[in-house]
Amino acid sequence: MAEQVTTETNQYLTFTLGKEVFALDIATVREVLELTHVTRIPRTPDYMRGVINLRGHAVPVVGMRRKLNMKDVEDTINTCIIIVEVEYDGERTVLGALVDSVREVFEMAPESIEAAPKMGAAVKSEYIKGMGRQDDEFIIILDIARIFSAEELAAVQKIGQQSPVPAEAAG
Amino acid sequence: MSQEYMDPELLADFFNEAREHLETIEPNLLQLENNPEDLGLLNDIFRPMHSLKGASGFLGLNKINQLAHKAENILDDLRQGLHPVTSQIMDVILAATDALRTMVDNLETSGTEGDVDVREIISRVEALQHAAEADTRQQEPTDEAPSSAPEQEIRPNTEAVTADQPLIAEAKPAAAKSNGVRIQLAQDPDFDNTPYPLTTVGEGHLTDFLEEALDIIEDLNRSLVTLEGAPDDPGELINDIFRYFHNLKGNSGIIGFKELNALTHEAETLLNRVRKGEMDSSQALFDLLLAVVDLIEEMVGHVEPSTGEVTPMDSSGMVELLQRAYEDGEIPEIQDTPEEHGLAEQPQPAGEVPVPDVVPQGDMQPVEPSTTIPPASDPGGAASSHDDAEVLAQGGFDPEDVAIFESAVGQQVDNLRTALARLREDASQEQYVDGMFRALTTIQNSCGYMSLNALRDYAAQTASLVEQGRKSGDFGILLDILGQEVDIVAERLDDAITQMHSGSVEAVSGGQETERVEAAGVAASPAGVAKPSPAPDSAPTSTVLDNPSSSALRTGSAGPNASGASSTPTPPTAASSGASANSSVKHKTASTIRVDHHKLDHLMNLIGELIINRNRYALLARALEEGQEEVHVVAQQLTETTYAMARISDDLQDTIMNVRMVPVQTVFSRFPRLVRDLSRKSGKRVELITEGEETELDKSVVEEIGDPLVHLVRNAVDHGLEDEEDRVGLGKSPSGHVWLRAYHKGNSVAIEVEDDGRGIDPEKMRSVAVRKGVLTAEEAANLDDREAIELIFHPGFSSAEKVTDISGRGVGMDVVKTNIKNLKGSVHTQSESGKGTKLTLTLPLTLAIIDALMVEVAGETFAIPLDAVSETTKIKAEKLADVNSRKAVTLRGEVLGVVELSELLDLPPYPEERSILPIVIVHDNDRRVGLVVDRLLERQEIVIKPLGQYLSDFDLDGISGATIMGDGSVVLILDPHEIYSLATSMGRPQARGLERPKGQVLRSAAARALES
Repeated sequence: MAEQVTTETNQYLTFTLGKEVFALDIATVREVLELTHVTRIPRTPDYMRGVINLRGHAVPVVGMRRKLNMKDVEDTINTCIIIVEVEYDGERTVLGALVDSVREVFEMAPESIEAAPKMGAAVKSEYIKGMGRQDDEFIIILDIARIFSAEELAAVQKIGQQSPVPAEAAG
Repeated sequence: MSQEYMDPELLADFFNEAREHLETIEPNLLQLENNPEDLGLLNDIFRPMHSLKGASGFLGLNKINQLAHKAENILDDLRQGLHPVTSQIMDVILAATDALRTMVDNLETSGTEGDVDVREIISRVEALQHAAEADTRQQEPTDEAPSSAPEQEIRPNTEAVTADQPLIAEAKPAAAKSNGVRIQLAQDPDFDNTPYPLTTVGEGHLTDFLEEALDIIEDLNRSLVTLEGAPDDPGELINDIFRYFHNLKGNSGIIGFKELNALTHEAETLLNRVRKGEMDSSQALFDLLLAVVDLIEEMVGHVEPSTGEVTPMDSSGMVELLQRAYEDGEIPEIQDTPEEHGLAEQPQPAGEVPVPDVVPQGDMQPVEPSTTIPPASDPGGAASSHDDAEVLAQGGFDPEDVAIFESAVGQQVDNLRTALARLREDASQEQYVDGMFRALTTIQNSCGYMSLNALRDYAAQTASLVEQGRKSGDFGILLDILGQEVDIVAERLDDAITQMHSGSVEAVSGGQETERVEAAGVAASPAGVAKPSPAPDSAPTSTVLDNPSSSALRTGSAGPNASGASSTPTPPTAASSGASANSSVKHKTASTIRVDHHKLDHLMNLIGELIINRNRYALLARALEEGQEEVHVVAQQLTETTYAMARISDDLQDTIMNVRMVPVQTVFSRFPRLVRDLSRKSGKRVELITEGEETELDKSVVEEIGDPLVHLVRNAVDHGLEDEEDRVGLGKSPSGHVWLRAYHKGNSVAIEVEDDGRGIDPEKMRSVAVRKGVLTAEEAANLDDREAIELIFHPGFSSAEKVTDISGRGVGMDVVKTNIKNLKGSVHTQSESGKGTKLTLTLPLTLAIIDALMVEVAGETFAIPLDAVSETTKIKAEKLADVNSRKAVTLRGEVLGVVELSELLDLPPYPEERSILPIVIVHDNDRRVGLVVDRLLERQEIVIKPLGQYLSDFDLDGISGATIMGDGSVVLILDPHEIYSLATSMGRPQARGLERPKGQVLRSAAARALES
C-alpha cells in the first residue's frame, strides 16, 4: 500500500539522527508527538524504549538511534516521537519512532531518488528504500515497514540469543 | 467464493447462525442415534440444516449450500421413513456437519470456504440414498427431460452432475436454495430481473421497510418452528404468523415490491385457511411456509438500500405452490392442470398434504440442464409458471361467474377513472382516494375469486400505492402513476374477460406482472405461448451482468434463470465494504452479540445520568472560576459529584459486562460429539458429564477457549482413560468418565476437565523429559512432582508411548497454555497416578477491566491483578533466611519463598538497605511466592490495554498488558502466573552445569509445604 501512495504523493517527512537526515514516506506517518513519559518495559532490548499513552492506547516506542545502531544521546527538547502506522505480521500496527528532531515535509520526485548504496551508508542497506537529495545534503529514505517487520525482529532476536550483548551491539 | 465483497454484518450474522445451527444439529444427531424412531428429533435436525442451506444459498456460498442441501435431502428421506436410521447414515451426516463447520470456520478466518472436499460426502449421501431408493422406489424417472428434471435433483442417477456443481462457480444459490424441502420451484425463464426502483416516501422509508421485513422474517421463522413443535395447538401462533405475512404484504405493497407482495399475499391466503381450520397444519405445510420465509428473506436481501432499487426474483414458482396449497382442497377442477400430472407421477408420502412434495413438472434446476437436458427439448407439457394466462387457458369458468365478474370489475374500473379525474382537479379530496382504494380492493377480491392471482396481486399493489399516497398526505404526485396503473389493470381485466368468454387458449401476453410493469426492454414471454419453455435462457444472465449496480451479494443469488456456466463472472463491485480489504491483511469479520433490549435501556439511562453529572462539573468549575462560592463548599460538592460519577461508572461497567456475557454452553455443546467420535476411534467407552453450562463468561473469552478445551478433552480420552480391559482389571467401571465443569471462583471462572483414568505419573514424566532432551537427568531429579506433571505443557513434549491420530504429538498442551495465557488465565494440573487427572483453567470474567494492586519497583509502577494477590505484608529483613541465591521466610508457620521483584524484572535493586520489606504474596493456584517491592500503593480498578502485535513478539515474560492511569501514564500489568514461573526458575541459569544448589531443594520443599 505504501508503495502506491508514494508514487502519488512523493512527500516525505524528514528527521535527523545526529548529523544524518532521514526521511519517511508521509503515508506511513500518522502524527508527530513531543517526547512524553515513556514507560520502559523490563527485559526488552535497548532499542525498545517502552510504551506511551496515545489517547488511551498503549503504543510501543522504538528508539531509532539504537535501532539503526547509532550511539545513544540524551533526550533533548527537540526529541520527538513520530507515530507511524505499519503493517506488522498482517495487521495494522501503530508504533512510535523516537528521533532527535523532526524537520519538515519535503517533496521529492521519484526520478530524483536513487537506489540505496550497497555499502558505505550509515545504516544497513536493507533499511533503506532510496537516497534523496536536498541541496547538497543526502537524505536517507527509510523503509519503515521493513525496520519494524516481524522478520527483522526475528533476526534481531536470533542474534540476541547467540550473544549476550544486546542486539544492536552485535550488528 | 471470496467473501471480500460481502456485507460483513450479513456474514457475521451468518457465522453466528451457522454455528447455532450446527450446534443444534449435533447433539440431536447423537440423540437420534440412540432413538432412531424419534421423529421430533429428526425434525429438530432437519430444520437447522434447512436454515443453514438457505442462509448459505443466500450468501452464495455454494459448497456449504450444496452440502447442506444433500444432508437435508437425506434427512428428509429419513423423516419420511424412506430409510431406517443407521449408524452409517449418521456417520455421513456427521461428516457433513463437520465439513460444514470447517467451511464456516474457514470462511471466517480466511474469507473462503476452503478446500473441503464436499464431493466425497455428497457422493456418500447419494450412494446411501441410492441404495435405499432402489428398495423403496420403483418410480422410474422417464427420459423425457422436463418431467424428470426435478427428480434428478434428488435421484442418484445424476450424481455426476451434482458432483460437478462445485466447478460451476457462482452458480445459482437462488434456485438451489428455493428447492428446499424438495419444494422445487418453477422458474419463469422469461423472468425479468432488471432492478427496478421501489417507491419510497422520504429518506429512511426503505431502511424502515428493510428493518421491519427482517424482523418479521425472524418472527416468522421463530413462530413457525415453535408451531411446528406443537402443531396441535396452533392458538395464537397461527394468528401471529398470519399477521406477520399480512404486515409484510402491506409493507411490500406500499413500496411497490411486487414480487414480495405477491408471495406474501399467497402465504397469507394459505394461512388464513389454516387459521380458519380449513386446512390441517401438517409437517408439509411448515416446510412450505419455511421455504417461503427463506425466499422472502432472499428477496428482501435483493433490495439495495443505497439506490432504492431491487433486483427482482422470480417468485412465481413459490406463488404457484402456495396457490395450489390452498386451492387443492377447494377447487377440484384444478386437477386438470398440467401440474397435476406431476402430482400423479410422484409417489406421495402418506398422510401429508400433498402440496409441498409435489414437484412441479416444469421445474428446471438451472445448474444442471446444460449437461442433462437439452434446453430446447421441452415437449410442451411443462408449464413452469402458473399465471393467470394458464388459469384462463384452462377455461372452465362458470359463465355466470364470468358475467358477475365482468360487471363488478367494470363498475370498479369506472369508479377508478372517475375518482382519478376528480382528484386531478383537486388532489385533496379524500373521499375519492378512499373510493379508489375500495374499488381496487374490490377488483382484487374479484380477481381472487376468479383465480386470476397475478391480476389480483396487481390490484392489491395498486391499492397499497393508494394507501401510501393517502398516508403521505400529498396525493397529487401519485396521480400520474395511479392513472397508468389503473389503465393497466383495466386493460388486463378486459383481456381476461375476453378470454373467459372465448375460452381461448390464448394467454394474456406477458401474464407476469413484472414484465408488464417493467417492460424493461426484455422481450415478454414468447407471445401467445401459455407455457413458456422452462429451458434456462441466457438472456437474463446478461441482464444481470450488464447491471453495474448489482452487488456481489446479489449476483450471488440474483440470476435465478441464469445457466450456471454463463453466470460465473462476478462483477467486482465497489458497493461492498470489504472492497478495500488488503489481501495480506488477516481476515477479520464483524462479530455480533445479541443484547436484551432492557439492558440497552438501562445503559441509555446511565448515559443520561452521566451527562447530568458532567454538567454539574461544568457548573462547579464556573463557580470556582468566578469565586462566587466558598472554596470548601465547592470542594464538598465536587466530592459529591465525584461519588455520583463513581456510582454511574460502576453501574455502566456492570451493565456493559453483563451485555458481553454469554454462557459457556456455546462451547460445551460441541463436546458430546467430540467425545462420541473419540470414543469410537479409540474403542474406549467414554461418558461425558458436563456441569455448569450456564456459567457466563465474556464473549471474547468464550470464543477463545474452544480450542484449548478440545485439546484437553482429547488428551483426557486418549491418554487419560485406560482401555476397557485395563479399567476392569483395575476395578474401575468399564466406561471411562470425563467431566467438563464450569463454575465461578471469586472474580474468575474456572473450567475443569477431569478424567478418572490413569493419571500422570511424575516419574514417567521425568524420564521422558530426560529422554527427549528437555531436561538433564539432574534437573529432572530436582523437579518436584507437581513440576514434573507440568512438563506436559512443555513444547514438544508428549508422554504418550504411542502417538495416535487423536493426540500425542506434543503440541496440544503447549497450545493450551499459550491460549490461556493470552486470555490472562492460568492452567492448573492435579493428577493422582491411577486415579485420574484434573486440569483447571482459571479465566478472568472479562478481559477488559480488573481489580489490581499497584506497587512501585525501581521508580516504576506496576499493577498486579488482585485475583492473584493473597495478601500483602511487611517483614523484617533479618527474618529472611538466605540460602544461596534464594530467600525464604516463615510466615505464620509456613515457609514462603521470597524474591525481589526488581530482580525478576531486571530492574535496578533498591538503592539502600532496608530493615522492613514490603511484600506482596501472590498465588498461582495454590502455590505462593512473596514478591519484595519498593512500595505498596493503592488498590485500583484498571482497564487492560493490549500491548499490541509488535510487542507480543518480544519476550515479555511476566508482563501481560498495560493500563493507563488517571494522570495519563502507562503502567504495566504483571502476569502472576509467569511471575511465579520466573521466580521458581530464577537461580537456575547460573546453576546450570554447576552443582545443584541446595536452595533449589529448599524451594521445592517450601513449595511442597505450601501445597494445600
